[in-house]
Amino acid sequence: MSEAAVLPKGRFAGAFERVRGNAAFFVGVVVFGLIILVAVFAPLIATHDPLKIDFTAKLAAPSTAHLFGTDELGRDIFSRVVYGARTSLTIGLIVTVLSALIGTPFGLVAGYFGGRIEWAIMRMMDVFIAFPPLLLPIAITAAVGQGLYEAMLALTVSFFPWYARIVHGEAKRISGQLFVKSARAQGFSNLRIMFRHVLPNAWIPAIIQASMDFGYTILAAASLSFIGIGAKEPDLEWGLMVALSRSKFLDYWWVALVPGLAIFLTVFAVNLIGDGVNDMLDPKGDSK
Amino acid sequence: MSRYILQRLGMLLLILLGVLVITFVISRVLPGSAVEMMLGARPTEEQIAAVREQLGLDRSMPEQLLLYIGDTLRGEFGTSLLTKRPVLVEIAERFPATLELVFFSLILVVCAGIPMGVSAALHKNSTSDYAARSVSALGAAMPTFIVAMILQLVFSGWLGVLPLQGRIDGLIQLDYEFPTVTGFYTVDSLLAGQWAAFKSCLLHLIMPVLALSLSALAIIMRITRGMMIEALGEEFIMTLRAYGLSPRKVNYGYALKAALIPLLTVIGMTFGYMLGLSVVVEYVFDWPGIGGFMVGAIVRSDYPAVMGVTLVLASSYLIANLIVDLLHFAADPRLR
Amino acid sequence: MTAPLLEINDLRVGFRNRRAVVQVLHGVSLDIRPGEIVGLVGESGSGKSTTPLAMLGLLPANAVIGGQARFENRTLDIANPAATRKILGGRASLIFQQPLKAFSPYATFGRQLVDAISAQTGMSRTDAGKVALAALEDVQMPDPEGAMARYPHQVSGGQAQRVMIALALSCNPKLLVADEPTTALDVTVQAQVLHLIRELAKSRGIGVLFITHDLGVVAELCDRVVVLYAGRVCETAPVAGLFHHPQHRYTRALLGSMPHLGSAQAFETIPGSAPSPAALPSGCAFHPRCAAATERCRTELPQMVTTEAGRFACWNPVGSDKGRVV
Repeated sequence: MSEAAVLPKGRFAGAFERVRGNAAFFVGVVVFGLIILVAVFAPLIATHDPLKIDFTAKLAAPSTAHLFGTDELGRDIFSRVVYGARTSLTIGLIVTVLSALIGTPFGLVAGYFGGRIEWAIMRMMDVFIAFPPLLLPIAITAAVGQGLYEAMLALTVSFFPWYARIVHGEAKRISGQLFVKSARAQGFSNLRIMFRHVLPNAWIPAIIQASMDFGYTILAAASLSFIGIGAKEPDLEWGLMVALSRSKFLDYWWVALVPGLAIFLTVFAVNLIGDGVNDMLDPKGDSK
Repeated sequence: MSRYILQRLGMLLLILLGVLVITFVISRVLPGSAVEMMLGARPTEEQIAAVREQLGLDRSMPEQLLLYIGDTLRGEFGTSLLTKRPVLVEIAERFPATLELVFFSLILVVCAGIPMGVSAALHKNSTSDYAARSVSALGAAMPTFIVAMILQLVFSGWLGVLPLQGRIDGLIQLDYEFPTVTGFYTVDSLLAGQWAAFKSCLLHLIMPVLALSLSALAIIMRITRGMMIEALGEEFIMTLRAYGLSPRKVNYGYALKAALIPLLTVIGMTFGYMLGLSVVVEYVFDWPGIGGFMVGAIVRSDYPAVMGVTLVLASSYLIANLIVDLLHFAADPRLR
Repeated sequence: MTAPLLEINDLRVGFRNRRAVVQVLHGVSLDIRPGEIVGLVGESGSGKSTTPLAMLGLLPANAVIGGQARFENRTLDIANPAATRKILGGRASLIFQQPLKAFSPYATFGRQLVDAISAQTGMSRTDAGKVALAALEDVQMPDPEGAMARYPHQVSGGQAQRVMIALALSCNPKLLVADEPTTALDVTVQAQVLHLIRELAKSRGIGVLFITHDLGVVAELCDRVVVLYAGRVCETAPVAGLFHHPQHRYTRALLGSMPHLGSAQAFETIPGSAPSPAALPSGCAFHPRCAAATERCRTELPQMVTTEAGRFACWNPVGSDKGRVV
């Protein structure tokens, strides 16, 4: 046996071994990497001004002048979709990071202190989770108004309780372990124990959740824009682009399909990465 | 009744209360625009005061909350600012359409997704497993509204075999009147023996159900596969194999049961997921349910209608979860 | 001496993963006679759990199996788990380490016993029910009828293990494999279960392979011991001989690590830890942890030596300390 032993040492030991040979993960990374490049270099890649209206060229079929044709205001679809990558990635990133940042402290405090604090916090989270997904963000946009930022706020409010729940379970388990108890006995402050000892061991499940949620966030945001309560003209958002094309969709279907496939491709790539991250960080998980 | 069920019931009531508080908070953020909408652009001070009093906005917050909870529990969801009819009536007319859509989708998802997941788990890493996983990965990444629009394009636009939108053919609805029994058009038309109407309802149902089902199917299939693989790895499976039980009995008699019981919870969650997603599907297919109604209400700031729909959908999900708990209780001897 | 009930020769097992095959057993040989209780001792990772699973045809599909085996003078196709299971089904039974996990939580004991018994014997469910009931009485299960209607979560670990033993004995097996059946139980219950196994084995002439890491249990229960280290047998001998005159350095170290009741002498621990199957040391796999290792131990695989007391594979056995080879 010349093969080096893979002994379980820490969480990350063997993580990259496990992901080796996971072709799907690499496909995800490559595709997602390309999408990020498109978003970053949108001004260089776009062939036209995505907002420039040209009534003489409206609803043009794909051609060399307009790679994916034009929409009903004569705007270049390729350029609009390229810029749309910026919006979707930004939404996904901000909502996911914010949800995790807000949810984690709730879960941490609940899991660490236990008792009534835990009960109160977790029942509060249960209430948020009791809403059918997508319904709560829709209801919230009804209150705070309809727009890109409002949609992001609404999605964050409906996602953060999931992080609280996940971190709570992990924090509770860790808080019961000996090293935390001994830290308490040594008289360290609760805050210090929570952030120095519990959090570093409890955040992995939140990362897994975030990697799985990123794609869903993009989908949900696009859905809100699509039904008219998210992004508004002239935002460059894929769901909105699909919505704007609906009235003439049966005849000029590519106008809707191109941004639609852009959403699909992004979410698909992100999900592949999410699965890979899940496999890497959670050796027990055999959902693959 | 056991402790378990009482506990679940208590939790349900508590959460329902929490849901009411959230909808209350949301609806108190709204009224600014609502007052504006009721009175036009430049109302006088007196007009504003009158409307505020009418809406109960002049009272203290706790008082408003109590009033709101009392009203809601009595079924008084207020009057739609748009149609000037009671919100409850508006919802009652539309809710069966939503339920019919979600119900048939749930049946499809459960009847197709679970067997596919189980078969993928039993033939792990086989071609059919990879096929199932690929379909699942594609389905989960596809935006529902795009699925819906592609269906419309192919089956209505290009092939012309399915109606583009709506719940029933307008002319057929005039010709055949069937009494409302269940509120499900398919069932009611069938009960009345009106085949043409039934056929029309069924054709109208196909695309919305498919659109609503695809992503849920992907999720259920994936989770079923995972749970079945986990169940097959349990130690008791090894015992049963060691004692000569046929693979059929081990797989379908024991492992499947162990996988299905936790799956009940997942089915409940899928129901909730589809309730939320039905808003999008109803919007695309112009399906006359409460989801489409809600979207219209949001855009027009009809907040009593929005909150009414939110409450009804959230409560439906809570009730579904209670049913799941009861089934769990019946199926798992450890809870008894 | 009676003919062996089960004879295993040069059993090799590896597990295929994404990149390679990790070899866990490197040629294990052992035999069990009717009525004999053989202890299989080793640390985790020694292959002591893989051995019985391979014997009974219970290894998963990614296992690569080689070697020869005979059961009651019939050759077993040990590389083919399904075929092995077919021949051994009903003749060889298995008792698991965690009795509560070895039964499905969603079915009563009665249902699981009846399913298993009728699957093995082809009996009708009514007859199988009678056999199950009789078997529960044989293992002195209190209230056997009641036990049939109970679910695993409703009984203690000890009781569940009795049900497990009842199941194991219900089909009149010739061979019983017990994989650490008492580790998960309370000490008092442990003694009862051990007593039960010994009594049943002796009265029915059943050969028992008892897998454990607990030498105290071995001393109490077994007739003969097989010591495994890193997928190889390092020593096998009758219990008394092995305890008093261990030959292999590992056996000696293992005995030395046992706490002695009432003895002031501190027990010695074995330095280091058992090697991973994926990275075995050269020569004798025990040499990095062995104080008496010689140059030869580091390079050459020890040969099995047969003496009148037993067999061992060690280049520098304990017996040589006194200037003689036993």
